Parts: sequence; C-alpha cells; structure tokens
Amino acid sequence: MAEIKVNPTRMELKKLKSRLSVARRGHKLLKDKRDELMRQFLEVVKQAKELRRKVAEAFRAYNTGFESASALTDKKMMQEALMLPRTEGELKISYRNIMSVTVPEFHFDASSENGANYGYAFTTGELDDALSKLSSMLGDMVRLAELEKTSLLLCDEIEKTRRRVNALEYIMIPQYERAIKVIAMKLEENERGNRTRLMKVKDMMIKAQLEALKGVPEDE
Amino acid sequence: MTYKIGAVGPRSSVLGFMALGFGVFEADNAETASECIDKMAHNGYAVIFITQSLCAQIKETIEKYSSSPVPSIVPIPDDSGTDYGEEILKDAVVRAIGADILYKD
Repeated sequence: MAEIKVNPTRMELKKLKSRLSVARRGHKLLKDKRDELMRQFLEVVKQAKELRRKVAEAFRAYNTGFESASALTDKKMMQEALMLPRTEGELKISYRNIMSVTVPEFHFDASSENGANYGYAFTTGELDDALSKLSSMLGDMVRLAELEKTSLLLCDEIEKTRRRVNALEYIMIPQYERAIKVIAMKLEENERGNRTRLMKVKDMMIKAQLEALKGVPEDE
Repeated sequence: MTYKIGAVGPRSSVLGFMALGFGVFEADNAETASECIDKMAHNGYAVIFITQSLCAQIKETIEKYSSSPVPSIVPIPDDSGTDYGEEILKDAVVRAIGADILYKD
C-alpha cells in the first residue's frame, strides 16, 4: 500500500494529527449519510414495487380491452377518435431534496379526465371502457415514474457515498495513522539518541574534571 | 414550467395514450425508439412511458438519463410477458445495498 512520505518533524506530526481527526469526523458523517440514504431508499423502493405491481395489473386489463376495441373498430375511425385529446397532458414538476439528492415530484392535473372526445357512433363501448381505465390509472403511472426516478437517483448517491466511506475507512485513515506512528517513533528515537549523547558528554566532563583534580598536586 | 408526458412503442400499444393528450411516438425497433427518447428528452418531456420489450433493447439510452432528475423513463407492460420494470428496480436495490433483499422470494 502506498505510504505518505513525511519529514519526521513536530510540525508534520501536528498537521497529520489534525488531518486524521478531520478524516475521522468526515467518515462518521458520511457513514450516517449512507445509513439514512439506505433507509429512505428502501422505503421508496418498497412503494415503487407495490405500485408497479398494481399498475402492471391495471395495464394488462387495459390492454386486453383496447385490443378487443381495436379489433371491433375500423382502423381509420379508431385513429380519428383518438387523435384529438380532451386534456392537454401537461405536467408540473417541483423538486425535493432528500439528503442533498435532488429528486423530482410530478404533479399531474387530471381534472377533466372523464368523457371521450369523439362521437360514439363509429366506436364501440369497449374503447370507452379501455380509455376510462387508462385515464383512471394515469395518476398511479405518474406517481410510479416519480418513485422509480427517485429510487434510481438515491441508488446512485448511495453508491457514491459508500465508495467515499470505504476510501476513508480503509485507505485514508490507516495511512494517516501509520504516518503518525512513524513520525512519533522517529521523534522518540531522536530523543533517546540525544539523551545518551548528553549522558556521555556529562561522563566525559566528569572524568576530565577528576583527572584535573588528581593532576593538580602532582603537578605542583 | 410545464412538461409533457410521452409514450414510445409499437402502434397498438401506445395509440390509447393519444386520447389522453400524451405525445405519442411510434417505434417498432430499438433504433427508432432510442432516437425518439433522445428527441423527447430534449423537448421538454418529463415522463416517458416505453413498452418494456423495447426498453430492454435500449438499455444504454435509458441509462444515459438515469442520473438526471428528468426525464423519468418508465417501462410499461406489454404483451411480451417479461417484467423489465421490476428488473430495473431489483438492479437498483442490488447496486445500492449489495444484496437483493426485496425480491428474494
């Protein structure tokens, strides 16, 4: 594993220690963020799953209805009947913030949903049925779009956050810890070296003084 | 700002949406479908419904838009019988959590 090359000085040690504490705090925060994102994500996915089942079922019913309607109606009449919509399919979007992930909220105004915009003369009742089924599940479909989008966006963010948490936990923090240990040991070693040198010097000085004392009478 | 809702798919599947005021784009193959999606994404469509057999064929195009808030591309069931929509959700769960805990049954 790559190590950080550092000068074994007290300055560096101090710097590294503060960086380590920042990394630890960041790690804790990101971990909390990840956990909360997971919780939100699971909630959204659960809802989306249920809604998808519901919509799929409703859609199957609509499909069979529509199939039989188009089998019974002339192709051109069918196209003509459906061409002019009664409602303008317009959608308003607002944005919500979940743990700093921007997710859309779709607001669909399904006010004038009932009633067809075609004459009943050339089409069958099956078509009316199928269309009213479709328009009644429209709200659910838009909600499903919102939920699925939300879950995909949250999923992305969870992946990113998890990668960051792991990078801090398994690479950055151990690196800092090792570098700090290396510097601390070097500094201690220097300290010890210094002390022995001092002791040695002291010994030498004492010896020299003793010798000087001994030498005095003899010299005179 | 208001956005539009659109549907992409073979004629028989999406014709009904026309009556609801959706922008309907007919597409029978993957190429047309992905062109349609690109066009719609740049023209103010926020929700795009696409039949799931087509959706399964143009994964790359769909993934391009999966990390931006709009458009939301939703697969709808058709007569193919597969359930691609659930597959996407399942995939998201596996990617986010690391294990499939919702669909394990």
